[in-house]
Amino acid sequence: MFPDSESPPRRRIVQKPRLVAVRLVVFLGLLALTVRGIFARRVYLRSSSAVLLLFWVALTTFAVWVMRQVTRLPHPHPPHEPDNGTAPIVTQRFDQAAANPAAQQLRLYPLQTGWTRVSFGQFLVDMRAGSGCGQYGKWARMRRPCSGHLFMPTCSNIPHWGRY
Amino acid sequence: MFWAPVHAYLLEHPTLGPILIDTGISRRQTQPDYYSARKGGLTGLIWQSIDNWLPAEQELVAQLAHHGYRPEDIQHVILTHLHEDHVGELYRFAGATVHLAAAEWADRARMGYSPGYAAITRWHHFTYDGGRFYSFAACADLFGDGLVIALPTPGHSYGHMSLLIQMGTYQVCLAGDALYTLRHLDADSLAAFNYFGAVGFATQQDSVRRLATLQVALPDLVLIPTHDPFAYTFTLIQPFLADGQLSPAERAALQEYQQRLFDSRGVLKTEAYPRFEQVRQDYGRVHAPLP
Repeated sequence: MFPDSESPPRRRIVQKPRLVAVRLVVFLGLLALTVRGIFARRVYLRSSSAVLLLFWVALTTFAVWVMRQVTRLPHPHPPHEPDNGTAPIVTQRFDQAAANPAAQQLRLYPLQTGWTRVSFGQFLVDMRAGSGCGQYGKWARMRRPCSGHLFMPTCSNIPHWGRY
Repeated sequence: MFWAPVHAYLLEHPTLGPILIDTGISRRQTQPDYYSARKGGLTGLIWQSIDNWLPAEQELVAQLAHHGYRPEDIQHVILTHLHEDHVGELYRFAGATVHLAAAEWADRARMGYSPGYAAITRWHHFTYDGGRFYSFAACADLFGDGLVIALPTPGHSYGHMSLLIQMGTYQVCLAGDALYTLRHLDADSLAAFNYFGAVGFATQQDSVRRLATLQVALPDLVLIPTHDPFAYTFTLIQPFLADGQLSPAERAALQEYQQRLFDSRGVLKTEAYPRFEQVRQDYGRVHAPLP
C-alpha cells in the first residue's frame, strides 16, 4: 500500500499579504522608475540599448510576478480520497475478474484523434528533484520544489532548453 | 513547439458493447481563431494558445466507422476529465451515458470545455466508493463487474481520473493526462506543467507516484498516456493494440522499453531524457515520430 506519509509535502501557496504588498511596491517602483527614466531621457528615440534592456527586464520580471500570482491563487484542489477504512471489495473483485472469461473478451483500441501543438515547457518541465532544481546553484534551489512555472528564469528547466 | 498526439480509446465490452473513453478534438477546434472569442480570463488566455490539427482519417467518427460503429452505437462514454482535447467530439454522443468523476463536474467552470458536454443529458457523476485499491485510497467500479475501475488522479485537473482495465492476463491503465508521457512516471525527474500552480502540481506528483506504485503491485500493468509523442506510442502501443489486445511478446516488448527508460529504482535514466525536435517555423503539418 502507498504510505501516505510519503505523499509530497504541500507548499504554502498563499503568501502573506504583507509580503505580497512589499513585492508589489518594489516591482511597481522599479517599473515606474524605469519608465520614467526612459521617457525623461527620450532614450526610446536614441535607442540606448542598456536602458531599453533594463526596461524590458523590469517589464518581464513584473509580468512574471503577475503570472505567478495568478497561477498561485488558492485553488481548492482536493487531496486524494481519504482512506475511510472500507474493505478493498473492489480490489478483490478486480483480482478475481482476471479469471472471468469476460476479461479475455475485452478489446481495447487506441484512436488517435489528431494532434495538438504545445510548447516544450508547457508539456514538460525538467526538474530533477533529487537535487532540487539542482546543479544550477542556490537560486534554483531556493525555488524547490520547482513547481513548473514556465517563466521563472531561476527554474532549472530554462538552462535545459538549449539542449533539446 | 511540437505536435503531441491526442488519443481517445474504444473498449469493446462483451455485455455492454462499445465503450468510448474520451473523445479527442473536433474539426471545429482546428479552425483558426476558434478559441479567440470563446472565453476571457486565464482560461481564455490558455485556450487562445491552442493549435490543433485533425487529419480527416483521424476524425473520431471515421475511426469508429473503421471499427464498424456509428456514434449512436456508443451507449457509454467515460471521461478522464473535461479539458477541450478530451471532450471535443462528445457532443456527437448525446444519447450515451457519460461517466465522469463528480469532483471534475463540480469544477467544470474552470477549465471545462462546455461546447463538448453541453448536449449531454445522461450523466453518471460517480464518487469513489469502492474502498482502498492498492496504492489508491479509493476507487470506483464503474460497471460493477470488476473489469473497469476508475482511480482518482487529481492534479492535472480538479477531478482527473485514470482508468484501469482488467484484460485477464494483464491490465491496462489509461492514465489520461496524469501522465503526459511514460517518462513522467518518474515524478521526481520530470514534471508536467500544471495550470494550477503548486497545489495542483503536488497533487499531480502524488497521483503519478500512486500510479508508479500500482505498477509495482501489478507487474503486468501497461500504462498508456494520452499524449506521449515518443516511439512508445507510435511503434509499440498503436500497432500492438491494432487487434485490441496485447500478446505476451508485445507485453515483453513494452516492459523492455520501460526498462530502457528507467533504472531498477524507477529513476529516469539520463540518456532517456526527452529531446524534442522543433517543428518547422511555418508550423507545417510535418511530424516524424520521435525516438
